[in-house]
Amino acid sequence: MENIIKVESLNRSFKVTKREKAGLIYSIKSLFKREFIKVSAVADVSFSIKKGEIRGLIGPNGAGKSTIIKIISGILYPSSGAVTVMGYTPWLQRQEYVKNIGVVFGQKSQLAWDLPAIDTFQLNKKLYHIPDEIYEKNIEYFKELLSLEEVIKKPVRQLSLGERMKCELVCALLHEPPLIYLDEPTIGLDIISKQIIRDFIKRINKEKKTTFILTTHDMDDIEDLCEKVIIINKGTIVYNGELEKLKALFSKKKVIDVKFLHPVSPDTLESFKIVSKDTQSAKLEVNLEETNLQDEIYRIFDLLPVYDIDISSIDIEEVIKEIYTEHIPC
Amino acid sequence: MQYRFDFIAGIFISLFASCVGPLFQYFIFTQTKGYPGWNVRQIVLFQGILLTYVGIRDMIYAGVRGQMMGIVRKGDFDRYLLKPFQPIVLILAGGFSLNSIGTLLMGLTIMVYSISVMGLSISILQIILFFLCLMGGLIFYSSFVVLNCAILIMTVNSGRIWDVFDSILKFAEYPAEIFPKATRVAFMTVVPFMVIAYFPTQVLLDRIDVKLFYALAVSVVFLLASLGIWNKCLKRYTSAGG
Repeated sequence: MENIIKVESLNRSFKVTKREKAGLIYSIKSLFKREFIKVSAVADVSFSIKKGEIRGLIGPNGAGKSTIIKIISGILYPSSGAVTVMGYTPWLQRQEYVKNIGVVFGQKSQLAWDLPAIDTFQLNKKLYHIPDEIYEKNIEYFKELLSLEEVIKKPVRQLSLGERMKCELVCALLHEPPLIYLDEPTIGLDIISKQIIRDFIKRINKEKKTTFILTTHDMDDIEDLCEKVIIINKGTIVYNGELEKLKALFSKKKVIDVKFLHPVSPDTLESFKIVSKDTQSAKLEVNLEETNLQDEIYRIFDLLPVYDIDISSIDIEEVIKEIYTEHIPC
Repeated sequence: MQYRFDFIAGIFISLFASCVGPLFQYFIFTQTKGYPGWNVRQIVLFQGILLTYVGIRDMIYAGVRGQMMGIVRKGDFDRYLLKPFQPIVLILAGGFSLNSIGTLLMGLTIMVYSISVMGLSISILQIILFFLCLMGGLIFYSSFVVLNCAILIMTVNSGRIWDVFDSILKFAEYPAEIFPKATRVAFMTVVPFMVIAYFPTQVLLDRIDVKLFYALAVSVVFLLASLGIWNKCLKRYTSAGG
């Protein structure tokens, strides 16, 4: 499969004003003298994405995910570096380029706040020159798929967050772009709405071969949708590859959750590697490269008053947490 | 128009507020020696044309300032950049509001009334020139709007600069004759304030001045220059976090 996005040594820095302390005096001071610091939001980022992929882009807050999305969607100019998306340089050929993409920002609405969503759809039909039959067909299709029949007739400000997000997705998809950017599409949604949105993304990806770039803080989104992820921290890529491989890196580690019959003193736990603990329970980590599970469990039953025990593999959230806090280099 | 009460109240308020200007002018005119070369009926016509212009202008642009300030500060300007259009076109188009229709109706009424009272007979040429001037005035004002939007992109929050421009534009609300000679010529050619109300009135009064064409041309130059500045500023847009 050919690449749809190619990013090479992308950089973007921002000038940020700095203020020593809060309060009126300091704010007056900063009126006369201001200190600027240059913050590098994206530093030497390179990656490529193939057609038809759903690629996850994850990282802690302020890692630079949104900045990257904004550059490759043509909103921001980069400080340096090259980006080619479907043959376009986004910020230079913006007007032509954006006809071929759809964007949903979970934290910002594209819909007109006071009007029913259907009016925004109509506006997009005009803006993107969507032919009548394709527009009608798509509206019908999305209405059915996301059960939006009544929703799109109500003013947007009266919609629930979940309903609004569905409409945002429809808005980004109406002109049938081959590439969609989703910046935190499930933020603030309940489990059911999240699942509906995910199923919808999967279905569109399958049926229309649409490529999706997705940023999120919800690891369930990633596990459900993406085969490959890019992990970003402090403006640079710390992992780029298969999600499974990332998990495999940690499959040698097990977490044992032990509940106690009665409170134990801290020194009894001293010989274990503790993830978390309180007086009634503890989470212990076992590295199978150093020891085997059987020995470790015997030891637990030996030393601790076990009421209940639960053994599990380290989950992806833990993996990501470790990477964010830079305990392990990838 | 989504909020009905606001809409209807807005129309009445603009209707009453727009009476103040002409009334004020009328008092100045009748209580002083007036403006050289103008009688009171002509001044009323001038006011009618000014109000018509303001009505149309505000219908097109009144919403732009508030909208622009909101979207730039919160980073919502992003979504304008995601549409396959020039963002400035979307911004200018988004400012449309019918609230100032009262001003427009008042302006048109005063204008038609004074034309009939004075018994002016108006040729096709005059009508064409009149509309050209009206267009010129709107183009001239557009350049200020575009420039202000550009400044907003750069400074993120500069509502007061907009006020400055609004005050400067008050020069357009008086006949050219009240200004000293050099200023008068400058306002007709270099910074063509006179294209807004003075020239169109002169056209209807059959006192056509060739400087009118300079004014029209310069208005277009102003708009092109401001669009150039806008495009430069767009590169500096930094969006907002999130």
